[in-house]
Amino acid sequence: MNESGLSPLPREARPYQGRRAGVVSRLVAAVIDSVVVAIALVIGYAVVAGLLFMLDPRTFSFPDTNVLLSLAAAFIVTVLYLTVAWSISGRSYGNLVMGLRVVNFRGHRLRVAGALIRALACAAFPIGLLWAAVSPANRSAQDLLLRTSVVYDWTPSGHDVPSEVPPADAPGAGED
Amino acid sequence: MATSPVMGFAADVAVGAATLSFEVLASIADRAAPILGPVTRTALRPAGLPAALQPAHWLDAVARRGFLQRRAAAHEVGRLLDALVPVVLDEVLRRADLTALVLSYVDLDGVVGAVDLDAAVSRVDLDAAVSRVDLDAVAGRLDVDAVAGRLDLDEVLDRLDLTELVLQRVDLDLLVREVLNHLDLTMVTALATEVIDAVNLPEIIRESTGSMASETVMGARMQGIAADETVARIRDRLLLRRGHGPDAPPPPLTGRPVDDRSS
Repeated sequence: MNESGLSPLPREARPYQGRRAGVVSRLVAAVIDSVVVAIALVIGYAVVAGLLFMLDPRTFSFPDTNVLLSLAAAFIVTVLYLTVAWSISGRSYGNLVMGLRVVNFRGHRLRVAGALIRALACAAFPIGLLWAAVSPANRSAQDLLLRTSVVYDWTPSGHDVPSEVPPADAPGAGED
Repeated sequence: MATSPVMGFAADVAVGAATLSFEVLASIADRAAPILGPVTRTALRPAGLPAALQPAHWLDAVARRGFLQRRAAAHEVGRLLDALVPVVLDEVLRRADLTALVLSYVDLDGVVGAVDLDAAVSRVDLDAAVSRVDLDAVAGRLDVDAVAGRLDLDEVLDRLDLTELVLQRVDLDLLVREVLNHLDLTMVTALATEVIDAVNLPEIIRESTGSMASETVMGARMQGIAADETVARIRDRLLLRRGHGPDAPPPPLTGRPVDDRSS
C-alpha cells in the first residue's frame, strides 16, 4: 500500500500482507531454495570437473562425491546463498516465488550478521522450520531463537507493506 | 346682498305689469294687423306723391342710419367684451371653487363614458410617457416575492435552453478551478481508490508487466496462504483455540497478546 492508498496487490491478498507466513508457504519456499542450492552444487561440481578435465584430460576422472564433502559443500552454499539473499532483499528465490520476506524483530530487513546467523541456524537445523506448524504465531525455531519473522509480502520492494510484526518492546513480541 | 321682502314684491309687481302690458299690446297688434297693414302701406307710400317725398323713403333712410349705428355699437361692445371678459372671468374663477363646482354639477361618469378612450390612448406617445416615469421607484414598491410566487418556474425553465446558456455565459474553467479548490482531497483520493478497485487496476498492471507476479505465481501464493490457513485451523482445533471458523477473518499470525497467552 502506498501513500495514495492504492495497492498493486490483488484484493484477496491484501489482508495477509505483513502477517507472519504459515508453515506450508515457508516449506514450499524452502523446497524451492533447496532446489536452487542443489542446482548450484551441480553446477559447481560440473565447473570443478571441467577445470580438472582441462588441467589433465588424460588422467581425468570425476571427483569423488563422498557424503561428508557433499554435505559440507551444500551447507556452505546454502549459508552463503541465504545470507546474501536475506541481507540484500530480505528474500531468497523461494521466498520470492511464494511472496515471503524475512524481517527482524523491528520488521526491517536483516543485517549481514543477522542474516548469516539465521542462515547458519537454518542450514544446521532445517527441521526447526516445522515448529512454525505448531507455533500459534507461525514462528520457526530459528525465528524464536533470533527474534526474526517471515511475513507475507507480495510487493517488490517491501517498503509499502505495513508490517504487523510487533516491535521488540511491544506486548507479545517474544511469544512462544 | 340682502333685499327686503317689500322691495322684492315691488319689483315683481313692476315686472308683472310690464309683461301684461306687452302681452296686451301684442294681442292688439295681432288682431289689428289685417286692417292696419294696408293702411300702413298706403300711408307710407301714398299714390301720386314722388318717391323722394314718401314717408317710406324717410323711414328707409332712418333705418339705414340705425343699421350703421347698430353695427358700430356692436363692434364697440365686442371690443369692450374682449377687454373685460378675461379680467372678469379670471376674477370670478379665482373666487370660485371650480373643482367643487365641477364635482357638484358635472356628471363625470357620463362624460368619461362618452369619451372614446381607445382612440385617446392610440394618440398618446407611450414611449415618451414611459421615459418620464421613474421605473426604479415603481419597481421598489413591487412585492417581487409575491410575483415570483405566482411564476410557473418549470414552465419557464422548459422554454430555456439551459445547456446553451451555461456554455455561453459560464466561465467553465473558473468554475472547475473553484470546485477543485473546495474539494476535500481525501474524499477525491477515496473516490479514485474506489474507481481503481472497480476497474481492477492491479490486474491490468500485472498483465502489462508480466513479471514474477504472473497468474501462476499469484495462484501458487494464494494456494500457499490457503494451505497455511488450513494448517492454522487444524492447529488451533488441536490446541483448543477459538476464532478460526470458515468465515472468520485471517488469523492473527503476528504475536498478539491473545496468542501469547494461549501458546
